[in-house]
Amino acid sequence: MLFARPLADLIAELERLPGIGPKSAQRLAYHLLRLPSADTERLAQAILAAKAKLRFCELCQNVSEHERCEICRDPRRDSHQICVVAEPRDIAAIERLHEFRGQFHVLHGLLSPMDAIGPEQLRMRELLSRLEGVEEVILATNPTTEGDATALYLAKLIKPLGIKVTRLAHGMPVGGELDYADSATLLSALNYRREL
Amino acid sequence: MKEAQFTEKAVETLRLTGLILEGFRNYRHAALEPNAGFHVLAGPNAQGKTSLLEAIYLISTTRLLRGMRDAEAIREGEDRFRVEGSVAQGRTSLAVTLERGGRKRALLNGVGLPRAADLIGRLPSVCITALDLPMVSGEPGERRMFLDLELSQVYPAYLRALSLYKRALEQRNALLKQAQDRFVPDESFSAWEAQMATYGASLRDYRRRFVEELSPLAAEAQAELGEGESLKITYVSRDEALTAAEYEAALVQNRRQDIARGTTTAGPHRDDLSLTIAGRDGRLYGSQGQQRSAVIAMKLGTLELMRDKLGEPPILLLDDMLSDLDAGRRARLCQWVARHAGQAFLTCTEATAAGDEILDRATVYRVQNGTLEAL
Ligand SMILES: [Zn+2]
Repeated sequence: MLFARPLADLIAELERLPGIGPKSAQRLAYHLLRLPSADTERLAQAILAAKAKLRFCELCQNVSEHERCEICRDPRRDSHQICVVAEPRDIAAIERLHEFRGQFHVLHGLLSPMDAIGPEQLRMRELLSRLEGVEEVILATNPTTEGDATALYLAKLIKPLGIKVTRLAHGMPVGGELDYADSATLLSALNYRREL
Repeated sequence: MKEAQFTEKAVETLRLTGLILEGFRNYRHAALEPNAGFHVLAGPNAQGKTSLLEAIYLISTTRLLRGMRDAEAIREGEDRFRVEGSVAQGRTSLAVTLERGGRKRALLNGVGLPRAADLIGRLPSVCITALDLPMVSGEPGERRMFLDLELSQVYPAYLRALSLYKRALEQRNALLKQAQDRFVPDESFSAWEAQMATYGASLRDYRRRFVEELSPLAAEAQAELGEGESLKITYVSRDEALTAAEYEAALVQNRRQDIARGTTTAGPHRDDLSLTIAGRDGRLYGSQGQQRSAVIAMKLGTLELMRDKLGEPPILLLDDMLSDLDAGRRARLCQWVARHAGQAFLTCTEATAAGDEILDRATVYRVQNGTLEAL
């Protein structure tokens, strides 16, 4: 037996996290073992509390403490405009600009048949059900093959409803990811978004 | 005066001025400081001549020679290899590293690039080895690989369109397989097909123009090598789609049949080159001698084409002076190289095989047992 049972279990759990390979999982596990009990207790509590207190906003699907998130509850936000992003972290990137005053919608992923991710695996139905009164949908998925495909797919569904559909414009590094882009690039992309 | 200075500078940018090999093939460590001219690497077989050529090819294209596996290039007993070259008078460094069990990494000025392929185009090269014969005799994929590699070296936009096309194609193929078991709506397909159409049409456009320019240049090289037989290269698509709109329409039309087969039947990923040697299909009817001459002529034609596009000749890598050529052909090949090539690296068992015209202007190295000695 390579590891004591509880240690093996811990490594196995850590390995299931995104971006963590077997080596990192082992390193993290040994690090956790060396921590004082108070520290590991705090970490475990934080995980449990986050899980217990957080949910997905019933409107925009962003991570939220309440049924509706802060942005969706903010009366100053323009509900005629919805900016669609792939991940919650992409909202933070756009919010940092303090320019966009509309609302958001989080898909929680992008279309990718290779990974068995189709429209049903994303929060698309939730988006389509909140389009009444909306005048513009801005598709702010990453400018990757999957980001473009997801945007094209949504455009085909939304445009027939008579809603203006726009896409972030050039300026993003090709193959790049939204949350790593510098603000200047992202701002120009937002300003020059184009209709599909 | 200003113009002359500019020209001189431009001519220096694509030259290799330094090369370091670590743990690569049979080299524990080797270093070379090439000049702008010819380099003849001489020595017995299996001593490391071709590996030097391959190392230059690797930092140029991020690939080993045709058909070689990456992991096998790590020297026995070592954990990794590293090949580093300097270009533009040492102002730019290109490196490729591979750890055992890991993935190939490309570094530009010491900084890792997100994708190894991003290194391509910074040190353009044309490489001729006996391993290239399948380019004429083999499957269509061999010829597409030739087109993709040479075009990527000249046009970054081609490389980008190629990788985006391949990605969208993989996704469409995955969707086709899913559609065998359950209903997939049209919108799901068109999201990938629209991208395939855009990038696929662009690929075909680049390829057609490349082949149109290459064909006469290859024919000219073929004649200069003293081959009496004509050579003609044409780009062949199974479907007629030329524009993005036509290709997208073809994809829509093929959907049902593609679902049944579980793969995309039309598109640039199925295209081919047709090589006509002396009026006949060179792939099916060419003798091995004719096919080998055609490979050489296509590569020399590519060198001329790239010189035209880049403003200076790419590096020429010529392995084993193609020792199985007869004396007359080899002499004319040497003459061609002496007249047309810029910086060049040539390997042969005996330096004399390179001929006087080359040797007069060459630096000669003796390669033996993974060591390198300038003569
Ligand atoms: Zn919300």
